[in-house]
Amino acid sequence: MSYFSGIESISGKIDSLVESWLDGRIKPSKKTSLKKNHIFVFPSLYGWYYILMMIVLFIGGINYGNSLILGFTFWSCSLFVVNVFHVYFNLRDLSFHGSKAFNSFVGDDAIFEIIVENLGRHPRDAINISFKNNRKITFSLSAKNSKTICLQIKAVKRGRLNPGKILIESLFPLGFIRGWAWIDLDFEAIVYPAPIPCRWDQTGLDESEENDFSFSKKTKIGTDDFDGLKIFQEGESIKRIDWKHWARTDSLYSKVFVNNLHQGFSLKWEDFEDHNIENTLSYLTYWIIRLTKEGQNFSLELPTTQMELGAGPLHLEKCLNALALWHAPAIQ
Amino acid sequence: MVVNKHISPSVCFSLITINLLALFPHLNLLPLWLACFCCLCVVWRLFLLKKKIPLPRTFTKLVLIIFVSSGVLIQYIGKSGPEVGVSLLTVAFALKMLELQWVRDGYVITILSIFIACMWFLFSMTLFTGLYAVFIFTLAIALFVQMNRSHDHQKSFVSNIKYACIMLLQSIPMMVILFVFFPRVDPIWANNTQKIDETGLKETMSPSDLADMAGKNQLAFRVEFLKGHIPTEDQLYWRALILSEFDGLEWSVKSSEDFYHTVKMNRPLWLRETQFLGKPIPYRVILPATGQRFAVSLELSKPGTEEFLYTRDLRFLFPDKIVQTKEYEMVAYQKFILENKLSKLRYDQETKLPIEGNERSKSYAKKMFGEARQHPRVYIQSILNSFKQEPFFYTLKAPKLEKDIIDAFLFESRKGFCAHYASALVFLARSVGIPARVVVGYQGGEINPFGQYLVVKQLDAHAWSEIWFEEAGWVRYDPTTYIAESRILDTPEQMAGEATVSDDAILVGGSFQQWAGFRAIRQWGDYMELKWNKVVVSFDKERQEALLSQFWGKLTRQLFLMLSAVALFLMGALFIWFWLTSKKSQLNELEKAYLEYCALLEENGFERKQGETPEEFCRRISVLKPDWAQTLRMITDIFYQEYYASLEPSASLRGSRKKCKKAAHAIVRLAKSLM
Repeated sequence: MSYFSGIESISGKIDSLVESWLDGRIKPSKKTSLKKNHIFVFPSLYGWYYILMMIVLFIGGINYGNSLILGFTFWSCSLFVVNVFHVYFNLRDLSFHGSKAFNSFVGDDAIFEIIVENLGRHPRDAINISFKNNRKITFSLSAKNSKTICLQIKAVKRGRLNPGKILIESLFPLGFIRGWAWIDLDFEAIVYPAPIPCRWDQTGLDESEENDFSFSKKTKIGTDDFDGLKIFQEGESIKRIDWKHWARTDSLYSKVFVNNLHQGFSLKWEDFEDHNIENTLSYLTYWIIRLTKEGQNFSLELPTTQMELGAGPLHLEKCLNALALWHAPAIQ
Repeated sequence: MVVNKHISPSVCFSLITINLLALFPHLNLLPLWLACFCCLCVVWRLFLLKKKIPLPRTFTKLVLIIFVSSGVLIQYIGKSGPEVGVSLLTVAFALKMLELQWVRDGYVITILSIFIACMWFLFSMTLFTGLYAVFIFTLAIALFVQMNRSHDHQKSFVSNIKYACIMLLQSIPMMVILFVFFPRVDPIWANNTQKIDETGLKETMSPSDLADMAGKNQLAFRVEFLKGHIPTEDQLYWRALILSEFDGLEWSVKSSEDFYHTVKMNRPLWLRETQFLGKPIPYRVILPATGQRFAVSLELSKPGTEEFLYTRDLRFLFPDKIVQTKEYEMVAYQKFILENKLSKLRYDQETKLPIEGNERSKSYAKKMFGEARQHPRVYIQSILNSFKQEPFFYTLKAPKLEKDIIDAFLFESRKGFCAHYASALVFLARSVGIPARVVVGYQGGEINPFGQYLVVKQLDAHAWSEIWFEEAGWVRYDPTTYIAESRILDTPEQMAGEATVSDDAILVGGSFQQWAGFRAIRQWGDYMELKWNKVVVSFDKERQEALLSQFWGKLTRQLFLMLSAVALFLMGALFIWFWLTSKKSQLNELEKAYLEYCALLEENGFERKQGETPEEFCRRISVLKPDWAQTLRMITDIFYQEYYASLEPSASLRGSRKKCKKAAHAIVRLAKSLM
């Protein structure tokens, strides 16, 4: 047992050594282009089969004194070297631009959008792109073209997500030489806590769909929110007339405004306190999403931050960010 | 690293095709049942592909493997050599088709097909074989390309082939360099495998064997005459075997012989006393593998420095059986005196005849010798005259003679070909005590107009005699030439369908093969084959050493430097070409110039802020330093103009590169003028 864990720790150490060496070479930047000092080449598994074939052919040619076999051995060898060039030029000068990082929830896939550009005259083919140890996406690009690629990585922890280095790899054209490069596009996405449905004792609402939010709809005539149009009555204030509507239909309507009686929900940390703070955050997440879905106002109160009363998607995003980043674990 | 995926049907189909093509030449070598089996495997796989049936299970495959390998082993029991290995390999290759599912299998099969195509070189090294292997190699490369294209970007078969051809052409220079300069080490274990053409002369020949050769159109050997001048046909007698012993039915080579080694410096006395007169004719023979040991030589050739064994009758042998194409040079003299004196032993050897048999011929000989008054030359001439005047016929379909063959030939059938005549003449000479022997070899040959070399075919095989006279030594007599022309019933050329017919005759129904034009095509093909052999096939260790020492001797260090320079130049040229054609490099020049300008300004205290565009920078500094405004404006304008112009897709590479360079220089110049 200890033997295997010993090996694992050694490979782990080597891995971290490689990582730090790579870090020295690559600087994170939103826009990178693959250059000479980024690209590595090495024979792939099939390359080793090919090399084996060459060795056997060479031995056979020498032994049987057969000039033609030797000729073909040399041709294969030369082709192998030419292949190195082809692989290199397939990758070189590809430009990567980290354009968008989409936020996600814990347990989902975080999506990162990358724009690849091929500014040269040389078409590229069969290039794999992926995050380290992740699923690969293969693409090809014709000359002077660009493509948008979405890479995914599982969001495991809440907080800021730096997906790390991206592997650009290609085996084209012959599959014997693998060329690869690591780039760092300086991505950062925010991972929100995964919402967990729960009961909200303070208001008597629960996770079910039949909750009655109607009490929040009580309104009275006022000045806050636009509530529709009604036919203009003589004597009403002209300021309320919807002139655009009159221009269109030549009939007079005036705007109606109401004040919402219900002041909005107040989400407090204490209401959902749990021994596990992640759960608390998850409950809060669930409720802010739910309330936004129902079109309600809410405010958020966390031990160190407060979010004002608000509604709508923007407000939701601000609150989600707050929840995600609240004492977030270190960047991963 | 590489995911093990299923291969796509189109790739599978291509793999099956290449499998079949690579196997194809080997089917000849395999026993029939095995060849059928291989084809069956391939067809089976095709069937499975079309019908989308799953592949056979492990058990089925195991059974097949056991069945086939035992079959192969039984077939080749006791035999060794490459045939066995190649058979096993081809069978394995065919069986692999049944296992073809994953990408990995695709690679394995393609690599194996290249390997198997090269294996055919062990058995045949002709130009055609080379071209066929190149064809398979190209297909294999195209297959690799096809397997590696991304799935949404599959290109047509033709475009894959094009890509493969480009890569192959790019790899030719390095291949040539390696071929010429890579040291050819000696074999690790001794081998002889090349297919031996056994249709030629052998050390024991009966007349009927010689007649059989008349129908064979195969190449015997080629000769290049190094001084340019090719002797006339009647001078082209190629000595191969010298038959001095007669047992009543057959002539054969002397059973006990002294062999001398050419490389040894001390020549025997008799050789030193041999006179080679007249103009030397240097020539080079290119002899394919015969499995025999004798080398053909033009009458009469002097031993040179080649590694030969030679005999007293100056026939030459290789130390080992010839299993590869050999090239050797010799010098011939048409006038010579060989063995002008015979010792008693030699005399007895060359006049020996069986005591019994052919009595009638013996008495006839005595009678004729008497009539010639015991003059050997006159006697021989009278015999030859009798061949001409009396009804002796030349035909290849002579009746087979059983007993007293000389008698039967001379007095009864009077029909025979060169072997009969030579045999009879030698017998008659020996009967009266004149030393004589039968020489078997080749006569004549066809001049290839393209390469100015001689092509000698098996049908040129001939037998004649050498007769010894006092003081003159051995003299050649070819009795066949004395036969009256009208009495020649059929010739070897006719047998092989070789006689040239003029263009008119083809209209009258001559065969296509005899058409002169077709002959020219064949001759050109032969010329190509010769060149191929000389340049590629026979480029072995000795050749390489000779080639390199030719250079090495002269300009060692200079050559080495020149070679390294050439190699570096080639590699550098490739890099530079790619670098120049990369768009980015132009922009880099421009950007570098601009950064230099920024650096100059920074030295004077005007730093460009991070993220500040050239336009913004220009404006800001113009405000701070108005007298620089105009120059800064110019610099910025140039920069923008060239930068965006070169990004245009329509911008030509070379034109915009020049412009960028000019612009870069202008920027730096202007910037410096400010300081």
